[in-house]
Amino acid sequence: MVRRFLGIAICLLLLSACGAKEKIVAYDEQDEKTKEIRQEIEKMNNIHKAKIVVVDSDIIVAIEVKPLHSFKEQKIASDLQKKLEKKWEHYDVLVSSDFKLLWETDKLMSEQNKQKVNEKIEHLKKLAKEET
Amino acid sequence: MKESQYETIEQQMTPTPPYVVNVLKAFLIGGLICVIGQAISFFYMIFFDFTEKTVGNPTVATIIFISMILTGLGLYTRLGQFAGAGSAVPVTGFGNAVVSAAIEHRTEGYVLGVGSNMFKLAGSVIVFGTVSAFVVALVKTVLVMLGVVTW
Repeated sequence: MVRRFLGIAICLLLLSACGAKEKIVAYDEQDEKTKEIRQEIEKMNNIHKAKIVVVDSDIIVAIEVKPLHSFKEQKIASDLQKKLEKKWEHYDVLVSSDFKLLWETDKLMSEQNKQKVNEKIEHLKKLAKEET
Repeated sequence: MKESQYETIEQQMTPTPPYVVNVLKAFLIGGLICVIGQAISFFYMIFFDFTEKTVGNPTVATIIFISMILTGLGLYTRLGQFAGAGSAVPVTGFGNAVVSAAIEHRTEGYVLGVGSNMFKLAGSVIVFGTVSAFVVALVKTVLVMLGVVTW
């Protein structure tokens, strides 16, 4: 009985993990830059989840790479960062594969107050630079 | 009785340790400790301002603190008996080594007993950890200077 239950549970877990859809969420879906960034991310097959925030001159992209690529996640992030920096030279681009940034940008998605969003972005930039 | 005869008798008498079961136990308990560590690091990242880069320090400190408390209460010994290397290899083993040595030599006084014996086991971990970190940093610095890798 226990074995059967365990077997079913493992199958369900595996299937639900495999069936997870790719999720790219943006702060402002109508923004032109956001659409281009989304296309850029979709072109890279190794990104599983992404949150895009484009406000004024700041571009923040938090990514989660697919499990098999997690050893190269920093390289994937820096590649995307270079691509975006090349495209928008005068913007402050930050691409990160850090879980903290993904979590915080996810909270930003429902924030309506633009001043608060700006404050949060400044805070996130500081956090990303933190080494110790 | 000859030495070789004694050896054969000794080998016949000694029970063979259940290697596979021991490895499985160590794997499961060691993995469980790592899962708890991962949960603690998620806790620090979600509720405090720690990123994946910086969360290592508070997580390690917390895990060591928990294992020290468990050692003091006498619970870590049971875990160690059951899981073997599974409880010694993660960083919890470090906390256990420090506190168990301190408890063992408590009767010899605070200075010559606890103070001088506290790092009897853990001291080698600290020395070799520091030396190997220095060597790795040196190799990386040379590689960066040669332009093979970047920071």
